[in-house]
Amino acid sequence: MPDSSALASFWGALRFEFVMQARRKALWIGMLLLSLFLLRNLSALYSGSAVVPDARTAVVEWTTFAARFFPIAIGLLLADRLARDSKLHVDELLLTTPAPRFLWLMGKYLGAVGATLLPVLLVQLFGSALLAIRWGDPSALLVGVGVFLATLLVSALFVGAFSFACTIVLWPVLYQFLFVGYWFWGNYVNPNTTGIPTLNGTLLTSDGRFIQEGLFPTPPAAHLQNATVAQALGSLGLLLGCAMLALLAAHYLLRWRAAHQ
Amino acid sequence: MTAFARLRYELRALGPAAFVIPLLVTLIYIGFAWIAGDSALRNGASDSFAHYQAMRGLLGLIENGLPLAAGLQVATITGADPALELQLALPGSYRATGALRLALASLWALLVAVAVNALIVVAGYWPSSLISPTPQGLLIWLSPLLVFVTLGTTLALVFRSRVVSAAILALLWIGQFLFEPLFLSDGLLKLVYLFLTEQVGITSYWLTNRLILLGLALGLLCAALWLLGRNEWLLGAEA
Repeated sequence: MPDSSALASFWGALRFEFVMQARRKALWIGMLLLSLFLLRNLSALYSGSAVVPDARTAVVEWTTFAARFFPIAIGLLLADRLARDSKLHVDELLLTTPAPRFLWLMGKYLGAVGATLLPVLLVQLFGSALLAIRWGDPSALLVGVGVFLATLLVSALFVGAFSFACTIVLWPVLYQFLFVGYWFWGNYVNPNTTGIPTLNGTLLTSDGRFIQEGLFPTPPAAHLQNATVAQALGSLGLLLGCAMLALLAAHYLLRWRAAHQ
Repeated sequence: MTAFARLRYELRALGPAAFVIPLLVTLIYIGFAWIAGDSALRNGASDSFAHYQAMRGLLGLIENGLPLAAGLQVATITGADPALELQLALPGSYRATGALRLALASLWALLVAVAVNALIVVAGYWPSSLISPTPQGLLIWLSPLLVFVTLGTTLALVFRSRVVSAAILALLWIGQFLFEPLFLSDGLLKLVYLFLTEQVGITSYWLTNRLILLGLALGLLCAALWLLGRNEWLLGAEA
């Protein structure tokens, strides 16, 4: 059981990392600029169609579309967090404190992921509110928050953990390229048409598709595949489990690096 | 400092990553192209279809793989100079230094692209029935590569942040696949669609598209050079 000073270091890291990341002008400008990519999709959902018969479906579609897109930016914006500590030698300073390294890492990770998701949440809420007003159904906003947690939050936790871990051992640009390539390969590449084996269509599809389809199903016409609740929970567990493994790897890599400095 | 010594210093400052990454990207794409071709054969497809699948993978390498790698690389170079304050205090223009670094990183990306282009031709995977390797064939990769390089530089300077530049480049790259129908159905957007050859082929507006992209790259280069000369703006970059 961690003592109170350990918890204080966890909360301190979380709070400071959240504030540091949330104060980055580039994060807000970049994310809001990227939101422009989604305007056409929002406008199509606002107009409605046979595939989108009500506010609930519209909000689910709006959020899942954002979940196919935003995690790339989230992963890249989190990729410089540990590298920055190393570059500014803050990591050396932190080694001199009694704070447990893993709790510090968890606090830093959760704070950075939370702050990076903040502009995404605002964009998602803005779109959901517009769609809820369009159909006169305020309850759609709650559905939107639920789908946000099921898709974007899980996806951000997954990619964020790997952005933390991989940048300890890889050149930043190489990681950026591999990450973009991974996102395309693991979420877009169709193994049936390309013949390339991929994680797309498995429970490890990291845009949260299975979780959304299992927990927030939409009419069959809106999606080609329908996941069960068990598959949704399996996907959730696998994605978060992999994220935890990546964080553990990051922890041991940082410890190894500190011991060999 | 002699010009040669300066050049050697700048090459060392670029670091090994700038030289190794385009080669790694090439190997990764060749691996995927081989898997796509081999998988088609194992699934009973004809030799010509397997050849087509592998050819698409190799076209993807020169049209979308190498340009993204080059764009991400220059965004990092442009936005990161730990001795920027010192350099701005010197009589020499930082614009010239920035332009030299940009040119060196781009030159390596161009050399790798030329070599890969030649390899594709020699290996028999060039779509010869559609387009000759030179001079028009060079535009398959030259136009998107220069757009990614100049856009990566300009965004890194405008936002004074490497990661935001990388994020926008990455989403632009993914957006070319995700929003392909939107790009191709719009009269103006299809003229700036970056991956036209690999995704669609040689269309009636292919050459116009490639030339417009080159013009766009030229405009972005001018913007980047202008921003490189604004010392006070450069000083506000993110740590």
